[in-house]
Amino acid sequence: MSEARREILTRLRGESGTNKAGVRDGAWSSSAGPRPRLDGSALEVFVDKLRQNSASVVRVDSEAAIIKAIGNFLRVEGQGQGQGQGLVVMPHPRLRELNWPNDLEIQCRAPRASDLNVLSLAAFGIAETGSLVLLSGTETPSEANFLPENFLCLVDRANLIEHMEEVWQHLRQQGDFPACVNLISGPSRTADVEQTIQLGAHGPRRLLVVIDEGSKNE
Amino acid sequence: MTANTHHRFRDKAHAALMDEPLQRAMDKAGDGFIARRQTAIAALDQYEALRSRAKSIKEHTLDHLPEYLERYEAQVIASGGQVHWARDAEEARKLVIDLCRRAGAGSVAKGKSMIGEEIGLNHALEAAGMEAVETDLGEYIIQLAEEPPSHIIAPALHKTREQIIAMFREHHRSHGYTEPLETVAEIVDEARAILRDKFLKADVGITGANFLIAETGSSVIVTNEGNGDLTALLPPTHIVLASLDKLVPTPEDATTLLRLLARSATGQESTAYTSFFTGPKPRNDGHESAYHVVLIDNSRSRILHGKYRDMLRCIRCGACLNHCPVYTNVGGHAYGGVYPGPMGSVLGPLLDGLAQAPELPNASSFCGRCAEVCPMSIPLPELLRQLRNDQFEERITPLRQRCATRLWSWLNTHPRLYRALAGPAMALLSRMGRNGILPRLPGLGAWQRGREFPAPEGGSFVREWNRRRGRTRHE
Repeated sequence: MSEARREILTRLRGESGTNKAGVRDGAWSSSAGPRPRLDGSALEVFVDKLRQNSASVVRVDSEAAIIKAIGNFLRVEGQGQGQGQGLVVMPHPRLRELNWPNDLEIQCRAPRASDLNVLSLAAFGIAETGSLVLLSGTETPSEANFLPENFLCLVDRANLIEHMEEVWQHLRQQGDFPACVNLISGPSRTADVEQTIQLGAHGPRRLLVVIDEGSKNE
Repeated sequence: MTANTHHRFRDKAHAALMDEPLQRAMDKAGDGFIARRQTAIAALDQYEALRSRAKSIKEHTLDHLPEYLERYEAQVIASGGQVHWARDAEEARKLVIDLCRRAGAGSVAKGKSMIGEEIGLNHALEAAGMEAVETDLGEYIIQLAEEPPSHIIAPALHKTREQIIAMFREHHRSHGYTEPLETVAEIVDEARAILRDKFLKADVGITGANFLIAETGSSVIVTNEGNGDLTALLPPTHIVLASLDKLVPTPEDATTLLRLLARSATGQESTAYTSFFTGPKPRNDGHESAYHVVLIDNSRSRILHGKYRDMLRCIRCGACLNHCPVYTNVGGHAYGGVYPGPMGSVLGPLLDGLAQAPELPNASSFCGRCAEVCPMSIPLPELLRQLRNDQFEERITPLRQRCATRLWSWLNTHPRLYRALAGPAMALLSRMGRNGILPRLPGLGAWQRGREFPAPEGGSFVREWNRRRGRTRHE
């Protein structure tokens, strides 16, 4: 190990030496702090917060309604300059296996920098802050969350949680922390020019969140 | 910009007050930050509980910093990443340049990082023949202007729209952008187009870290633009820069701090993006990807064992800047170092040496708002006062001032003599007053130039106290 490492750790230990008493090791989950109270159900708060943060939110209860909501959004917002570019769907079975109609131009593949509309799947929705939780992996690559002009995201109502802590508990149980965990609470924005909020700084200009409240029970 | 900047607060503050575009920009920033934070805190029922929890998380981590750092390092390695340790700024620069060279980097995309500013990384990368592009819009603007950030979360706060447009026209012509710009939307769109290209071409992405998590080996960044995420995700190599004090034990601890960070900084409940990076990212283009963390001490281990340890709790939200009557009048550049405002007035002298920044501990009216709004309960005015004491002890304070202070302190500990002198002095000053205001007094020229000195009424507190006490006793 490097000399710098040794020296820094020695400096930090100072005269007191090693102090292992009280170090959280193996008792990680006991570190949860106070959680803000929610004014309403997880679903209501989740929707409210996302809308406050300039996202579009649609609640649906069937597969057909998911497709319809996405189609409606793309008709209004999903046309690039010149021509429409269709929708790039991330290769997650939940998305791939939706009953996509022929009149929607769908490509199921990894995202590219030039993609206008990309659809991915959130593992969770956090009500407290109105945040989508996207976990990296080949089926939901993280680049998808940041590259397109329009980011569309499906989240199942069953995966709505109240607070962020529940994500950590879930990942702990799963025994695997993905390379990227992205919490997304609205479209990209900046206030760096005269403190004026402008959407679409580097990431998506628009965010559509489709909450599926029941197609799985059909 | 580098650690050797000589702070000359007094001169720079004077210049700043006369700088019209700067004053216009500061006026535009106005009370927006304060109002937004106030609204966000008021809507949070657990603020005080979170604040006290946040303090104890940081204290606990600092108590066991070596143990948690070792755990953090082991987790980064277990997730396929590497950790590199740097004792000081020079060692950190060398490590980063070496990592970039090994990645064959011609072009480096940078996310916003205050530790990157602290170690003077951009200049070092450029001197090493690499193009380093700041991707946060504010950082990009000040990189074009060749200036350091003037605010830790809004680096281009001091720039007006007109100034930004002029710079874009000058620098973007070579990219083929010549159309006139006017609106904020047009400015942002042009920067987006130019920087998107830089992201795609970069071989290495360098980000800072708002937090490091020991349990998982993760680094956390919060952004609104998404630039930090593109910086971390698109280039094959991701280098994270972080000082030792960014560590917390668990994701739950990071969650507690996140609840305070965004609210204190921008008044948001959560920024648009909060991202946790753990090890090399999966890639679908066949390229190998790499994840490096450069852990930087740069004086933190010294601060940990001294009387300024409280400062290591700082999460860089900027609330103390936004609420400081000095900062909001003179802007960040007057402070001369990397970190401005109250937190910078404490941290600057600790990083650069008190002798390098003798005016910063005095760049405060001691109104105490900084400590009131600090989500980490850092007693900033007390730390500034302590720095003043150190200045006195180390004889950095000018001789005349030290003699005057000594005399005053001696008089104060001899109450009879003090009263004997103060009584006639008050009576004299009272007679000198015109309509209750004192004329110009020798030695107070600069102070009186912009202020009125009310004349004392002639009595003294002690005399009044004795008179009233006497009266009560007789009643």
